[in-house]
Amino acid sequence: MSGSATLARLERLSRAELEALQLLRLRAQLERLLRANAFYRARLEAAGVRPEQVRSLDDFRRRVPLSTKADFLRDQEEAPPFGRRLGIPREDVALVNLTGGTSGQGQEVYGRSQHDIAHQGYLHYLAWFIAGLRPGHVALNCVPTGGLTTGGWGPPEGFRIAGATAFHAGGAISTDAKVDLMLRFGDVHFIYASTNYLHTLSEAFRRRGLSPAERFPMMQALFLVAEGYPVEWARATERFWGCRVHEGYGSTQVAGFCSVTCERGAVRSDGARGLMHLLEWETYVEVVHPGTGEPVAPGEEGEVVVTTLGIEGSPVLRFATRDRARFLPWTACDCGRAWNGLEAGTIGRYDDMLKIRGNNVWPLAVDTAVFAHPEVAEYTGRVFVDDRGRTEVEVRVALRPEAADAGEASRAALAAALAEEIKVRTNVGMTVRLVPRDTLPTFTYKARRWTDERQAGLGRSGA
Amino acid sequence: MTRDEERGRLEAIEREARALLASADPLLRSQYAHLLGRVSALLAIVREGAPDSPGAGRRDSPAPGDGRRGQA
Repeated sequence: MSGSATLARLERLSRAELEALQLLRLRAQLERLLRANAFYRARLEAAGVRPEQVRSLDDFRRRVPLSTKADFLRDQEEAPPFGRRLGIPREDVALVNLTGGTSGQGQEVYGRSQHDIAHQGYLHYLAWFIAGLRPGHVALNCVPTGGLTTGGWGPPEGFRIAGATAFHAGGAISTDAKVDLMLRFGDVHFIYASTNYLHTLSEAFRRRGLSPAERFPMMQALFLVAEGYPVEWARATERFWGCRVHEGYGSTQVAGFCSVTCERGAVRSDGARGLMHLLEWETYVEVVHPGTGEPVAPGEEGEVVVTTLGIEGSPVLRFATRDRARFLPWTACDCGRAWNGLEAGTIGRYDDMLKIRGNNVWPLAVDTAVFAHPEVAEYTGRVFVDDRGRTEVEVRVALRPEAADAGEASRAALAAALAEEIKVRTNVGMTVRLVPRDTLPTFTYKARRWTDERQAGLGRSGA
Repeated sequence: MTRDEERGRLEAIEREARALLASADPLLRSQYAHLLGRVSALLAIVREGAPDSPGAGRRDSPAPGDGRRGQA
């Protein structure tokens, strides 16, 4: 499948053999944590867990308690700055990664050893390799590098050990400059970008009347990260670029990717969403009901829970991510790998959910409705309380130039169609306004399209 | 451990890393190239230092780009 003898061995494992390997590595990790990690030793001892008692993955799920962001933040407060879960001597920390802090609760701190930095790079390269990146390929990294995040440090290390000729252009140069760079170097085989940024890059090519499919016939993969997308958008993007769209899912907690689409891609030829296979021998991933902690059934959505199997510093054991994903068994893909998976293109955050007029609304649902229309360039959403105290939702949509220049009647028809589709997907009526493209932001990594201004509005109407 | 011994060990690792470059596995080959780059850079640093035995450092003074020889 992949041309790697190392991977071929894992690709040939039966489901039972793969789970036996996972269990072996899980028990080794438990032994390591009991020996070296004060935070997890206390939790495991409190739960009465001994590695030799964990005879199956079910045993592990039943006996080992979940850990949460709040647990980690409390630990960091008690033993600053890394918390007792660091598990390696502080002087062995060669890189510090923080979570983004977008939840508003605080940032988790992760200390990486030299081993972890290399492993973090591998957990990026492995996913890209499965998607088609090979040594010697030219890669355009559109995700901003450096800083304090895993997303800023893992990719450069991943491209370096991949032996790829990498341009780390994310956040460093404008979108038009990236297009110029690609044209100047001619051969580009691989693009790594957030969903939203790939959309922005495609827009720039369109604006300049350039066809990436014609200019870059050697392109192997467009590798998406961080955000969901509609099937229609992914298929249109594949046509525009003339290559497969792939997706990986990962996080700071697992130090890279824990799942990736195989050669079948993020959308299938029949229009169905693809499966992101879990790299299960590196990270043990569960999808559970957020309320009960019980595993969801195949095809159901639940919260992603992760356990690292090869990380030394700041490891995680049954960490509840608050990421929402649809669990798919390995049999849902016909590639032959016995690796379970998550549905491509639909991972969201439980934290992102907006409660609007009694409805649970995830921004991804609106993304799906809006970006299913190829005329749309960008949008933002705003929930607010109007002067009469009513909750209102305004969706401001910018169109691509050719659509923006169309007649008033076709623009109005499009706005009405968007409003209708949003209502169908969310059960909430929203006001759609068409606005000039330059009045909306351009997102370079994770898009933050929604603002909730209801507290301010309620304060005003209550005054 | 003397500097000569350190250098000898690094040279042995470099020889092994260079041999690993013959791997047919593309997932690993580039990582071996990365390893060789790291080791050859370390060797260059060690060779720049004063040798324990007269003349030992001069004999192996690296040329720029030496560490990349033999990469796929």
